[in-house]
Formats: sequence, structure tokens, C-alpha cells
Amino acid sequence: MEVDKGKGEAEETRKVAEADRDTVTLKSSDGKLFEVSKEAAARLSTVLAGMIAGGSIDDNGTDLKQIGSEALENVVDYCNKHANSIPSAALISSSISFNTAPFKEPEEWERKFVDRLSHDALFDLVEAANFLGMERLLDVTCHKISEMMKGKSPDQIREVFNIKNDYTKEELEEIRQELAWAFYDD
Amino acid sequence: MCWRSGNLLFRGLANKILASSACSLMMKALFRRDGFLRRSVSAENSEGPWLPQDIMMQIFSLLEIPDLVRAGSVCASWRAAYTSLCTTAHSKLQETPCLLYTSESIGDRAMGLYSLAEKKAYTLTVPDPPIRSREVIGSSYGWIITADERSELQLLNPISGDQIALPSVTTIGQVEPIYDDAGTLCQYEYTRYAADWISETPPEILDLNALRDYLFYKAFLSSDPSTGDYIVVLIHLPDYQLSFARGGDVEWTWLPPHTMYEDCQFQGSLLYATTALGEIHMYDLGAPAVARKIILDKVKRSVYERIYIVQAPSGELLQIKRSDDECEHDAILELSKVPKNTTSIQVHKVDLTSEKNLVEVDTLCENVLFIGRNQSLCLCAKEYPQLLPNHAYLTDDDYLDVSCFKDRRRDIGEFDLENNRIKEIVSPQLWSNSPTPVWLVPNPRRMSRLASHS
Repeated sequence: MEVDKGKGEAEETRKVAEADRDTVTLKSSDGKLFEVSKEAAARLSTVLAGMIAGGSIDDNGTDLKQIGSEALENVVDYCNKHANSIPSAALISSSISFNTAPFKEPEEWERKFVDRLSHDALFDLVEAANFLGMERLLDVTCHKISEMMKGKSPDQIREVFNIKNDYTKEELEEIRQELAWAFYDD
Repeated sequence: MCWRSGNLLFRGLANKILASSACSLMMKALFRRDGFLRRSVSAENSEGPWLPQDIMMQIFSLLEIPDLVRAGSVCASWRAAYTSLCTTAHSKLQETPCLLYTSESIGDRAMGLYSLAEKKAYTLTVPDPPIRSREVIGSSYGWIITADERSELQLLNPISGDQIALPSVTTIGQVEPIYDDAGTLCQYEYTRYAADWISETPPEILDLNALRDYLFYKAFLSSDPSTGDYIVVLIHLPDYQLSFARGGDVEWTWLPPHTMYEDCQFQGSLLYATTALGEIHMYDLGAPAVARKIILDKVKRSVYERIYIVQAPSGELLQIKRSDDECEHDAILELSKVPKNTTSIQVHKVDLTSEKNLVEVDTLCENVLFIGRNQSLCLCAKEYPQLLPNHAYLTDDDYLDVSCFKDRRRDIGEFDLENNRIKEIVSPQLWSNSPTPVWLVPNPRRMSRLASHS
């Protein structure tokens, strides 16, 4: 990671001291503090990596005003679990071959990690992952949500996600005609 | 430092943040987006969870087409995400191939789509001319290439219903139109020639719908034609020659002098074509003057094998040989009646550093093949958990069978490379034998107005 060289000496010293710590402290919107491995945070989150490299990590807790404590706890939990799991070949390859890498199926532990979440917690975690540039976590959470839609009729999907059918009768008829082939008889 | 340019919202932002010295301040400013505010509004209205549209698009892109269509109709905001996904030119979708077919029971204007992922059949209504009156000569990027009763070619996306007319068959050198006294096209004159020979038999006069069975073998696309920017290449008779056309062209361009082509694969505008003798030729169709380069020279092989070229997920080029039990029968009459079955699939890695240039591999490992009258595909079963690794999913593409023995039972199934056994995909058989069923990677993308204009 390239460090900006045009900084004052004091800042350099501060950065060196910061670099010595192997965790970073993150602060949720409701003021709770969480410690996370610096290595895992930098590896899994492009935004945290950028902040660590740019020296804008606050020792007293870096403010993440958009992320609630429950979602941040899950983010930190995911980073720590990820740091402890042996990265599989699939994950390594997806991290090198950027553009062309298609989605890789979640690992067993990643599945378990998202399976235990409530719907609200899952959706909050998707937003947190998106916000922090955590591509793998975003993939895994999006995959979980897509699994919840599979093999279901539109009505069944509405029920699962508690979504109101906000179409007018005419719109609904139009959609039925256009897409009738894929509808299950509900 | 590289950043994956995936669906992530902030891929540009992250770079900006890196470049910024006061980045935490900037971050706060940059990320105060509508999305996070609207969430609380929708929660108040208890309309269920809300996510920004590009995340919904990312979730939707993981769904098989039928699931995608159903989810895309759930509510107005999900529909907006679905529509956006279907109109974004390069959105990444990961669709498991389906078998596309016609049958008497679903009518002349419909196609059946059998989803391998769901093990379920769907019926799609497709635009005229009636699909049962056409022949299917190719399938690439979710589009099929069809030949209608006038032997004219079309591109058709059975999911979106979009259709594009290809240059007239009369612009192919071997074909001349014949008009009646009223000036109406009534027949074609078909002259058999290649660059270095001309048939001794005089040109043949053919009915409009007969020409297609004499002329067309297979067709392939360089990219999804919904953007308007594509190349279509045709393997046609006599002698399995190549002609191509770019999106918007009004005529076919002949690619002499080589013949005996069996399968094609594009990499951008580079065309890799393999011949019955195992040669691999490369043409740069993006260059003003098309030059041919020999990638691989002749490999001795049996005439009973069909040959395919495909790129493995790892990037390696594979040459596939497919043999059947045809040679066990000899009388032509017998041929047309006895069902034919694939008996072996051999996989060779094209390795130009090795002495023989081809290295036989015993197994596809995690990979899965799709071969037939479609653009040959090699996918990784890890990314398509419904597919069986080390299997080849087959449809029929033998010229004689598909074009002449139209009622013959098609050689379709999932072939296990481990034990050389072929299994039925679904029973009872859903499809008619003609037009021949093909593998299709469903593609919901609709044509941009620019492309439909052409």
C-alpha cells in the first residue's frame, strides 16, 4: 500500500505508531466501539484499506455514522471469522482475477454466518458491506437474499419479505401478460 | 493498486478517498446518499426491507431467469431494478443453460424452455414467423439464429422477444435469386463452389424453403447483439466454408479459401475456427483486411468424429472430439431410423508449447461442457451447482441428421465422461425432433433503441 510521502514529520511518526497497532477501532452510529484486525479490515474492505493507508483511522474510534451497532458487530465478526478461516482456493482466485471472476459459492462458514441473521439484520449488513466496500461480504449477503427468492411465486416472495403489492390492477395485468410464462400458478 | 470494477457503488469513490488527504471528511460528505435516508421512510410505512437499486440488481443477477422474472414483478421498486438490469448493456448475469425446443403440443408460435437448474419446463411465446416453420442453426449469448421458410436468417431472443433480420441469403455468393414474371422471388439457384473448385453438376434450382437445408450448417455470434455491436459468422455448404456479417451489414462477406469448418469461438473480434481435420484457424474480423493465422495444424482423426472448440474457465483452449455409434450401421435407410447415441467425448488441451500441440486430458474435473448447435460452452460446476461436473450436455448437430433426417430422434442427453454413459435430461421427451433443440443461456436484456433501429 502506497503511503503519501508529502506529509510532515509529526504525521509520519503518528502513522508509524498507528501502524504498530494490529487492530483498528470502529465506532457505530450509536456510539459503540468495536476492535477489528487491521490486516483483515484492510484485506476485506476497500474503504477501510483506503483509510488505513491514508492515515485517517482514529485511535479513539473511527466514526462510521451510517452503520448501526448491530450491523457493525456483524461486520467485525465477519472480519474476525474471515481472518481465522483458511482462505480457500476459490477465494484466493476471486481476489486476483478482478473483473472476470464470477460469483463464487459461499463457504460453509459464510453460509452459517448469514443464515443466523434476521431479515432486518441481513439487509442492514448488505448496506454496511456496500458502504465499506466489502465485496466478498456483499456477495455472500446478496447471495443469501437471492436464495430466499428462489422457486417462489411473486406472492410468496412478497410474503417472505413483507412487501406490499403496490401495482394498480392495470399494471398488474400488463406485467402478467408480458411475463406470464414465468409465473407459477398461485 | 487494483480495484475490482464490480457492482460496488463506491468503486470510484474509494479511489477518490485514497487520493484524498482529508478523507474521513470527504467520506462523510460522499456517502450521505438518498438511499440511507429513504430506508427509514419505507420502514415507517412497513413496506418491508429496502435496498438501493444497484444492490437489488446485484441480488437479481444471481437468479435464474424464471426466478428473476418473478422477483422483478414483486413491486414497483423491484420492477425498476429488474428493468434496469435488462436494459444495462453489460450487466453480469449468471444463467444456467436451458434446453430450448419446440413441440406440437405448445403450438407453432411458442418455444419450450427446460431449466436444468429448476428441472422445470416453461413455455415462451415468440414473434413470427412461426418458430415451428423455421430451422435453428445456432445459439449464442441468449439468442438463436434461425432460417425461415424463405431461407432468410434471423436472430431471435426468445426471452425478450427481440428479433433482428440478418443480411439476405441472396448476398451469399453461391446463391442467386430467381424471380417470376411478376417480379416476385420464387426460387433460388444454388451453385456449389469453393475458392479452388466448382462442382461439375450444374447449378441446382431450389424452392425457397429447400435452400436452407442445402446451405446452412451452424452460426455463431461474437457478442450479445442487443447492443447492436456484434459479428455473426456462418458455416455453410458446400464444404463448410465461412461467411460473416457485422451488425448493420447488408450483405455477407465470404472468407475463402478454407473449408471443412465445424465449430467457431469468438474472443472479442478474434474468430477461432476449427476444421474437421482438427486445424484451428484464427481470423481478426475487427481488422479492415481479414487475415488468417494458423494456430494449430492438421491432426489426424477419424471422419466419424465431430469436433468443437471451447475456452475453459481457466482460459485454456480445449478441442473436443465427439464420437457416436453411427459407424455401426451402414445402410442409409437404416441410418435414418435407428437412434444415434454419443459414445465418447475426448478432451484435448491446446498447448502450443508441447510437442504435439495437443495434450489429451482424461477429465474435465469441475468443468461442464455444452455442445451441439450452440456456441460451445465450458462452465465451472462450482459456479453452477445444479450442473454435474465432468459431464457434457449434448444436443444434436450432425448436418445429415438435422437437415435431412428431420424426424430422427435427437442425440440429446447428459454424458458422463467418467464412464462414457449418456443419460436422459428429462423423461418423457418434451421436444419435437425438428427444428433441432439447442442449449440457450437465457438473456433477458432488451435491445437498445439504437440497435433496434438498425
